[in-house]
Amino acid sequence: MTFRQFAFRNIVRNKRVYVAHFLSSSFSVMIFFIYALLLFHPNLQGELASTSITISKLGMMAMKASQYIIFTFSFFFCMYSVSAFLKARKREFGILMVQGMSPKQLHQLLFMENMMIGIASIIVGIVTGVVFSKLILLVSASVLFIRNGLPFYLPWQAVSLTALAFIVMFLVVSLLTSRLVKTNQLIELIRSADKPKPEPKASVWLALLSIVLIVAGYASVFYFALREQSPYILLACVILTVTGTYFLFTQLSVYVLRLLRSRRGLLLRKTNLLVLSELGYRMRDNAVMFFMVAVVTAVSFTGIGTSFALLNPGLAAMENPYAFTYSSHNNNTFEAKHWKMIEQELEQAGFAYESAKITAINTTDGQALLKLSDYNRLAEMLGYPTESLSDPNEVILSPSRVSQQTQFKQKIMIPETVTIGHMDWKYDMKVKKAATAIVYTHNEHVIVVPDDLLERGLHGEGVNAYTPTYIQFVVKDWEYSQDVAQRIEASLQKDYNNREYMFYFESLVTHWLTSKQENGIVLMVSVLIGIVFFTFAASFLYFRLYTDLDRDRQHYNMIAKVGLSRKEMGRVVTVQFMFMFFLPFLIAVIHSSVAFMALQQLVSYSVLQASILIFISFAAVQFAYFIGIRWRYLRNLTRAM
Amino acid sequence: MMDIVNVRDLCKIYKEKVAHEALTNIDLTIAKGEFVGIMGPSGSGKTTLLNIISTIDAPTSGDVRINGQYPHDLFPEQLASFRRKELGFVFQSFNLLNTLTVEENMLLPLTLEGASLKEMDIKVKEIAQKLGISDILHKRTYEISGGQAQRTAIARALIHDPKLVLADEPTGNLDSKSARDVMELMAHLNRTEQTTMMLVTHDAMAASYCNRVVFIKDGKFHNEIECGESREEFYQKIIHVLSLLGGYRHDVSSIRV
Ligand SMILES: Nc1ncnc2c1ncn2[C@@H]1O[C@H](COP(=O)(O)OP(=O)(O)OP(=O)(O)O)[C@@H](O)[C@H]1O
Ligand SMILES: [Mg+2]
Repeated sequence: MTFRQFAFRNIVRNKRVYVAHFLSSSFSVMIFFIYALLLFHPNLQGELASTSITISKLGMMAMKASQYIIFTFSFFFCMYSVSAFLKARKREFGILMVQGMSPKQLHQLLFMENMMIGIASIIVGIVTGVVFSKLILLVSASVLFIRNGLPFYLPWQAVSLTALAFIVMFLVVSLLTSRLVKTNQLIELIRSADKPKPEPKASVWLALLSIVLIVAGYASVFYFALREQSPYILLACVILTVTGTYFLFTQLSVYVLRLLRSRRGLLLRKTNLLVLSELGYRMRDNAVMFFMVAVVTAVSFTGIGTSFALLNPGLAAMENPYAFTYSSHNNNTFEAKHWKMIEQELEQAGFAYESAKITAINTTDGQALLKLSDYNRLAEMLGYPTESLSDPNEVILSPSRVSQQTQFKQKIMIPETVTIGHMDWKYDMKVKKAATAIVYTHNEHVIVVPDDLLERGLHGEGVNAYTPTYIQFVVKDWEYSQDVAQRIEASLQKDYNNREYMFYFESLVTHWLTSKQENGIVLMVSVLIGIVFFTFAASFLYFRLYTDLDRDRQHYNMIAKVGLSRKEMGRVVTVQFMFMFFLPFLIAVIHSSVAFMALQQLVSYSVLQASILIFISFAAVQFAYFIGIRWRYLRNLTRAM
Repeated sequence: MMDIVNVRDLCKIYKEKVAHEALTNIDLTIAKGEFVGIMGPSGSGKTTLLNIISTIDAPTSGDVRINGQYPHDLFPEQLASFRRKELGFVFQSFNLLNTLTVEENMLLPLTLEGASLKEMDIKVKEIAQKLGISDILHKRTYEISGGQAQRTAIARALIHDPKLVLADEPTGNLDSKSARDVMELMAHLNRTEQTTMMLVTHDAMAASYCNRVVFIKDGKFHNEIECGESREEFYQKIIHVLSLLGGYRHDVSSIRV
């Protein structure tokens, strides 16, 4: 047996302990690789750029930022898990050093172990990534609305970036953690196993403080949502809640358990004594770990939930009914030429379309006045009923937003009269009705007025109002008009003059794709990061259990001799595991529910459905994990008996 | 004859909340090939003394010389090499690594030393046969009995031909039959291989296999007795001293030789 063989066997035969660390590392390597795969995909950059340059930049930025996040957290995760292992293995190191292992050899051993696991997880992570890359590209293409799909490519750039980044990371982790073992105090290493852990000190005040801090944190997030959207308040909220959660686990939980143990009636009933004393022991050891699990889980819930919420309005706001809008300002001399050009392009591409030119008047009171004839022309184009006005002092209100449309449909708060005001010119008009079709969207307050009002009033009295003209296009099957839109934009670009801002062109398809892609990017990034965080949280639990397994086995062995049946032992373990798996989870759910409730104040639609969906799916995963681990753990405990 | 162990004026003070003097002015010399037992009531400082001689713990004052060297003055790397070459350890709780097989546990000192595979093979065969564990070489540590585990630990302590073997209650976790086997084995190895041994024990039966037994009480040297012609006589003398020392009522009442 050479030294290298020894190091290798030490890991391979201890795989149960390392498996969670290894799998989570592989998983984060894989997710990092997915981002790299997308980042370097030649078509992806082109496709995203074709919708808009900003989107492509945003996409790249999001992928890069996610990589940084994944990388940073993988680093901390590895540091934590490796040092947790080292702590659990002190006695083993003591034995080795007594046998004459030098500090150098010990560092070498730890370094080799870390690198073996690191390199294995890099390989597994990348290989799984490559194997699934076709699927990943398919899913990403549909999430990002890339029409031509993303062809499979050999992602050597992504592979090398991922491999390099993680080799460096594992190298640094190996170097840092191998210094953690104090090799000069052999007696400490040898004795560490028998050393009982000190009784935790829980103070009532700190326990109460935890509740105060959490409530203050919740209050500040609502203050943020309702009053003042300042990032400092949000930061304060995060700090308060995180600190509160820390004390919740390290103080309040210990305090509550002690309180429960002091109630003899409760304590001495059946297996309660065992459950409570074991929980006390676990809490003592695991308070910090529970705290981390709760915070990390809450962060991933809130992140995913918020991005689901963002996904919604993007599509709902798409209520501009026109495929193209060409607007003129400042006596645009190109107008006729451009109109013709756009029509030609549409005809060439074989689209059925209608177009109309309208002129609106924007008053200084912030209203847009639309001539009845213009309104009817647009309504006709869109297939909505036309309107008529008989009295010269009557007007019709027209909605410009979805929220307004709903309001008009339900006939809530519709005024009897409106005052049209421009400079010091005022006109009181009777509101005939509120129409329910969205026809004009360039201003929030749209008033349809008799044609002659403008001649009669404003122009006649020599008022100089701002009167932009719009050429509106209704195109059948506009969803497929991306190519035409690009050609038109290219053509218009030639006449574009920075100094004289004369015309503006907007296409619905670009907007539509942009917003869908923006949301797709946000969703993809947050869901993947959220899942990685969740995996980290899950493996923290796993480490704890398996580093304690030997001690637990002895413990239950002893109790079994005193007469604990297997069934009772199963029950004790189940109750304990329920606490371990679901207490941090529950705290995370409460934290993120509060965050969602605050979020709800900021948006008009309900985020309830999305949040419930997130909670249920994660709870399902957590439950499956709980069942699996409990089963394995019990099997491991009883096998030794 | 050359001295293997030379302890002079050794003191150990534990500085916990209250400073506690565990060892006071201990002098001890062990000659080459000697088998010395250390006995004393619980808490008298036996483990502390053994740990300091074995370089696991550091003395507060005084000198420890082993085979002409002062191990406590060595640098960590040299100290490791010293432990590897000069010392062998046997513990009450065996301290075998459960990731390794019996054979691999035995090979550990040679592996750390970087010995050749051929040398390893020869040594393992030779020593396994001597200790009667040839059949279990490929078993893992949780598949063997306590006696077998302790024999494995002894094999590990002897495989690199150390100058000094240190044992802290090696029979403490064994039944009386296995304990006797282990002691006979150690005494045999001491006689045939001329390995110097130092043994800490509570058990008068185990101590009776030594050439000489040193008694300590409250961290101070109490007295020492040497084995004469008969082991039985020696055993009776040990029991007598122990009864004078106190704290050994249990052992006195259950005489077994
Ligand atoms: N790490 C320590 N810190 C403080 N005091 C200690 C420490 N280790 C041992 N002692 C004290 O030193 C004294 C000697 O302990 P030691 O373990 O050497 O006794 P021992 O003779 O081996 O006892 P036993 O026969 O029970 O194993 C005891 O009083 C013990 O309380
Ligand atoms: Mg002792």
